Amino acid sequence: MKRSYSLIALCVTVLISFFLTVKPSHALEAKKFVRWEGETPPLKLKDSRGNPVSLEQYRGKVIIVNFWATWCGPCVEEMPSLQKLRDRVNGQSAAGALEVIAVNLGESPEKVNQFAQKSGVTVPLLLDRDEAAKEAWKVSVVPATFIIGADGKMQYVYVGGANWASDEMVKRINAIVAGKN
Amino acid sequence: MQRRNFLKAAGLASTGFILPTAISSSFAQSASPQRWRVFEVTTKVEVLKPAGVTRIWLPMPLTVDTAYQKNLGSTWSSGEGLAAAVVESNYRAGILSAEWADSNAPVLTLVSRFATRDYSVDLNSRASNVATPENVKIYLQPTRLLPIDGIVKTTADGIVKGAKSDIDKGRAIYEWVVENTYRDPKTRGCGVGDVKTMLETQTLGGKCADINALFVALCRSAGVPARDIYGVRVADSSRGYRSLGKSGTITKAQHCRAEFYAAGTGWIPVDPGDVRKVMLEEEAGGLAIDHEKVVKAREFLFGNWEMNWLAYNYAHDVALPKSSRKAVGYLMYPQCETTEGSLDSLDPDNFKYEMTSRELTSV
Repeated sequence: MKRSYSLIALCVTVLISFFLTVKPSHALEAKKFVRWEGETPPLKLKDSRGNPVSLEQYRGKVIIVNFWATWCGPCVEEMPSLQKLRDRVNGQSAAGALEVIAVNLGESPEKVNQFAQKSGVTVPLLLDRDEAAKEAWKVSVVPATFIIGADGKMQYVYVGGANWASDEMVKRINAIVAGKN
Repeated sequence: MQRRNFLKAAGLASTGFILPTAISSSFAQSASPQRWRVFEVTTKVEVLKPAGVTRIWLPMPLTVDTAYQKNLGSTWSSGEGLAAAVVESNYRAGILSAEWADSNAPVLTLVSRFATRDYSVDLNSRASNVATPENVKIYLQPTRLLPIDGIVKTTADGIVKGAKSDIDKGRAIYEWVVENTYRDPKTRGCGVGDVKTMLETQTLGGKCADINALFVALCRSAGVPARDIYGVRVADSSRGYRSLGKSGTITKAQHCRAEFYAAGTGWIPVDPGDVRKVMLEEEAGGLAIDHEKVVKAREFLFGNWEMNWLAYNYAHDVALPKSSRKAVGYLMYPQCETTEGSLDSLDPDNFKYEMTSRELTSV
């Protein structure tokens, strides 16, 4: 297991290095989608309403785990599109095949609930108050979005903001849901 | 963030920023009756002499809300470059990190909004038998420029001798720093904060990052958690001190403050550096330490802050992502590197960068 985490850490480090060096003019969105394989770090947190949430309860679904903060403009901007992505994908394939989980870095439940109320976002908003999950997932940049296959294996990571509800993104995630990634 | 998205977000976006109308309800439980004010600070960096790969790092507002500051969000634009928000691990400092490849003209704009209100702590409110929280203990540790042994420890022990409570120790160190330091107008920027050298050479002159770092190191040496808070002034003082405020163009208005932690009370704001600033700058020719204005500032700045200031972070020894340098002592000024080396953060006209502040509304 330790070896797998080391591999994950290496991959994310490489990815972030890649993100901060690649020229943006070459199909940035596609280039920021980086494929990598390995064990998925555990994730077990409470949501902003105090309910315990764990990746395990979504076993069998494709899961998008998005790390974010309310102070990060691109994070806030992309969040509604993540919800639309979930709704679009679940409307086109087996109901409930995709789940989106957003992990907030270090902020209070009041602040996160305020964001949810204002934005209308209803995806689970988990609170990483002590940023232990951030450390376990080796996240140093926000927004950072991980895509986990229905088998629980990590498949892709995407760094930076995106319009997740775009046709291109929906097509891509649909392919993952269909096992054709 | 792409340019079009940035522009959309910067134009009073409903997504990029949490609007100030939400503030009052969010902080309804706060005991402080002070009114919240909302500011927007824009930092624009335009590297005049890019060479090869250019990297810029900017401090962002505190990533965790406090009793005196609420982060309403930041947006940024980097043109052809790539920019991302980095959350530094040790102190949760927010850093906007950007990079441009060869032959690009690097321009980075960061727009941050925050709410702030004046901050006072009741020094007589002390709960008993309260353990120091785990997340406070990092502020007892030494840093590269803030050792807590040797001459720092010896000096601190002498100052706090006889003091029993954390507040008594903090007060003793505060008074000692005010009495024994001085603001040196020749110090570049806000100073380096090399506390050991200050004490060893008995050169206790400097600016806020020196004087307040000395307070912090002495507190830590005495076993009292303390921290510098790096930031920038964003508005004129409403307390009648022209030397303690700056509005509009704030390119050179960086300012560091300090806090110490008293068991049973919590974090207590102080600013001995600003007491010395009032003495040097408030009136031509300076003011004596017993001048009424100085006495009032000295009394106020132990336990209170006027919040015409944006707090960035508490971080020391900050490793800038992908930087060729070793960690910087603190991150309060824009930082930049090209393949030819680091640019001078204290020379904004040639760097170059500009910072502006404007108040948006009152809540």
